[in-house]
Amino acid sequence: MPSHSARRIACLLIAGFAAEVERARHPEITAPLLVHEGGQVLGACSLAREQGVREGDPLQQARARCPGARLLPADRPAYEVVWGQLLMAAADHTPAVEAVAPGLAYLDATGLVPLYPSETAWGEAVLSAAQRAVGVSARLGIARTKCVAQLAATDARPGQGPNLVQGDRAFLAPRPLADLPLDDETLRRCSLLGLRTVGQFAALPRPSVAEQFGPEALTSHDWARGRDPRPVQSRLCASLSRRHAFAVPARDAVALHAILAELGAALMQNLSRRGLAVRWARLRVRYEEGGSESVAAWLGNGAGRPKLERALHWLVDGLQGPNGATGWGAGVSELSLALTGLEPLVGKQLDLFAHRADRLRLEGTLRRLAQRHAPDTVLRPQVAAADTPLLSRRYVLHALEAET
Amino acid sequence: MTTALDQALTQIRTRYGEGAIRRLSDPDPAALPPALPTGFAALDRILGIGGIPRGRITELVSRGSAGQGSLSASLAAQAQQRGGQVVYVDAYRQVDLGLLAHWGVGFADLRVLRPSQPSLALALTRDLLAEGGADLILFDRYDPAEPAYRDVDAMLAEVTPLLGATASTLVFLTQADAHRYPTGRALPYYATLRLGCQQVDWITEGLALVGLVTQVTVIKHKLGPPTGSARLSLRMPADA
Repeated sequence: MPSHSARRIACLLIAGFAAEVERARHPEITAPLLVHEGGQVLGACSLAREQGVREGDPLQQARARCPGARLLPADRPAYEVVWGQLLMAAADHTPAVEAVAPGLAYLDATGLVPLYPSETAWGEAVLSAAQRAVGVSARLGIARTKCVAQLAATDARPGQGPNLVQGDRAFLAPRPLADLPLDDETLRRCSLLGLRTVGQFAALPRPSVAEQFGPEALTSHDWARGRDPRPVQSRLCASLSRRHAFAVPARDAVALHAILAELGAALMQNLSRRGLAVRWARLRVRYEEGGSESVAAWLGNGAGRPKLERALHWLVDGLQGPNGATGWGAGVSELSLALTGLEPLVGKQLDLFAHRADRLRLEGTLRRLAQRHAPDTVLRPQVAAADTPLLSRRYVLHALEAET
Repeated sequence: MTTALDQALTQIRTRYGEGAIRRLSDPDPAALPPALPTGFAALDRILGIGGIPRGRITELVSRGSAGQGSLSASLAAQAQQRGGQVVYVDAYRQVDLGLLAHWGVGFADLRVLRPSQPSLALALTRDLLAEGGADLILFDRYDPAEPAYRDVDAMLAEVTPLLGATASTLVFLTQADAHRYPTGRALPYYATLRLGCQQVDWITEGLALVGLVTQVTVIKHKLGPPTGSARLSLRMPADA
């Protein structure tokens, strides 16, 4: 176990996240599974990946490589909810979670010595929490830097515990150069120079790297030497979510509203503690008869608990039921509530000099410009809602013409 | 001991006046061109004139997140503190009002020009300078590889004399690598001052990321020392 002060970063990785989520939702499917969207592969399960299919491949090409694959259309809202649940589960074990993209997140594993018997135990706790939360096996790599942690996670096998790396530079040295974020031209030139491994690249003097490959290659060179200063930025996720499964399917509006209010209150408390506010509420229900439904509501600026509760009532009223006409009373077996579009707080502004001559002169100039080009070309920033915690909603731009 | 050079200098001063000749090592504040402080003492010091030159073109060159936005926001705040009017040309509709507010920019003295398409941003800036009234114009952002800016040569030729006449300061925020700037571009020629920004470190407090350290390097300076660099600690908005 590293010392208290040693920086440790964990990378939580689920390759082909969308496909793995679908695999957990459809355990009866044993064939390779491909999730597609817009004619491209959004997620490929491990079986499909073994046959060479990758995310972003054209669907035709993926089908040719993996003829027996089962194709499923993408259900992004569901994946977001699962991803949010997974991150929340991980957040119970670490002070900082940086969600990069669905399927990839960094966790701060520094200073966890007093809380867990070993780093391996901590990693296993994170993995089992993720498994319990979403039913998907994740991979975890733990190292001193982000770069190495991600490579270690790539090397780890799902369901077989965390991959711990103690010496980042030694871990990187024998790896192929393609593991570093070098562009194709740099890789080609390295190949011509006989450089094959990260260790060979790391052994080059720094000025020589800058001279030969340009300053862009210096970042990769630093990483090759085990120097990756990027910290875990505590961007937990763009959403928070909670789920409730009914032991007996709910057919009663009062019970449904009560559970939703409870979930909403818990999520809002979480937001308040983190100094965040929310823009969207998304409700997803799974029906007893099979099938599911997702509805969303915009919460506007400065959403508080009363506004959320009103939105939740509206969402429940908007449910169509499994067949589109029976209403939610068809029996809800499970519901999940996700709050998305989280943003932090910002400050206020004062204007003490409203009528200066030079400002009036500029106003005249700008009005002529607006006439010449377009009215909405010249804009005036303004504080829209001083107390809203939404950064993008606190300030707005108004067309200058609207000022008079 | 008086040297022949000192005697010659004395003669010139006697014949043509006290300010006719001076050693470059002797500071002469009266001769310095007017400058707009950047808000960072270390940077103002290496610039030699106390800030970026007024009535001229300055280019801030950086690739990616390197504090360019914070530096320009600080410039805007400094201009406003001196009673200046600031216009932000938002060619790509990416103005970060939260960041500007964080660096102390007052919205009352700030106007945003947002052309319907980036290619019109140059024309809009030229018209603004021709009409006058803005003390500092931040052009966000210039991309040398962008075809929309192929007319920049003609625009710069037009506005350079206008800048001198109106004492407006035009700052281009350029997205490019300072060391791999495309050749044949006019802006490096017309710019009086060019500064390259490169992020070199993060600032953390405990486990939280609170800012970054950027190295600002003088690439070109017609009115001061043409070399030098300063490290600036730029803190992000505390609640962002």
